[in-house]
Amino acid sequence: MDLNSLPLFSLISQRLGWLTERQKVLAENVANIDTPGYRARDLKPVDFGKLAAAAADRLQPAATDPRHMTSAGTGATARTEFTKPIPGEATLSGNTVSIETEMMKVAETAMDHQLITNLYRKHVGMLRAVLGRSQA
Amino acid sequence: MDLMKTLRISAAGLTAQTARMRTVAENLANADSVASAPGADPYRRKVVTFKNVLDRASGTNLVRVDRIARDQAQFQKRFDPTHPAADAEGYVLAPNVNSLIEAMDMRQAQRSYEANLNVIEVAKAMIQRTVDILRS
Repeated sequence: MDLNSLPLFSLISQRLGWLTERQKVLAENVANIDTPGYRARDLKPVDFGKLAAAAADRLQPAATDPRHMTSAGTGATARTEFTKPIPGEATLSGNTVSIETEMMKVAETAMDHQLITNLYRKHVGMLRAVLGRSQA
Repeated sequence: MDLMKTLRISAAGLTAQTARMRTVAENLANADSVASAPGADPYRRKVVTFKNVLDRASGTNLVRVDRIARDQAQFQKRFDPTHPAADAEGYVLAPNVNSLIEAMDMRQAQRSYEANLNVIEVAKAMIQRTVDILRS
C-alpha cells in the first residue's frame, strides 16, 4: 500500500517539504546578514487546514478502462511562494535582515517540523496497531 | 535533500565571516606598522565586503566575500622626531586602524558566525528527526 494515497500522509509529506524549503530560505537570510543591499525573504504561509479539508472530501473515480482519464491531484497543493520583502528598517548598507526575527522563525520552523514528524510516527503506530503488531 | 542545502548555505556564511575575522586580525596586528621612510605610506586598513551569488550546482544563493578593499580614511600622525621615518616637522605617519572599530567589527563577525552555527544546529536536528521516523 502506498502511504501517500492516504490524504493525511500526503499532506504530512507536503508540509515537511514546505518546512524544509522555508528553513533553506531562512538560512539564506542568516548567511547574508552582512551583505549590502540584501532584502530578507520568507515563504508565504500555506493554509494546511484548507488543504486537509479539500483532501478529506476528495472522491476518486475508479478507472475501469485503460482509456479512462484519472484526475491528477486536487489542484490545491502546498506551493512555495515568496512574500513581498518586508519594508522593515534597513541598515546603512540597505540590508533588511534582523537576526532576532530570523532566529525566531528558525525555531518556529524546527518546532513545526518536530510536530509533523511526531504526527507521522503516531499515525504509523496506529496503522501498526490495526495490523496487530507491537507498537515500537 | 533540501536540508543539506540549508547546511551548505550556512557553511558559506561561516566561511565569509571567517574571512572577515581574518581581516580584523590583520588590521589589529598591523595597528603599529608605521611608515618605513619619510614620505612612505604606513599600513592601510582592509575592509571586507560580501555579496550574494547564485550557486548553479545546487540552485541556492550563497554568500561570498566580494572583495577586500582598502580603507580610504586619512592616516594618523604621531609626533616622534627621533623616529627614522619622521618628516621635517617630526611627525610619523601611522596606520588608519582604530582598535575600537576593529573590536566592534570582530563582535559583529562573531555574532553572525553564531547565528549561522545556530541554523546548522537546528537543520541537523530536523534531519535527525526525519531519519528517526525510520526507526519507529
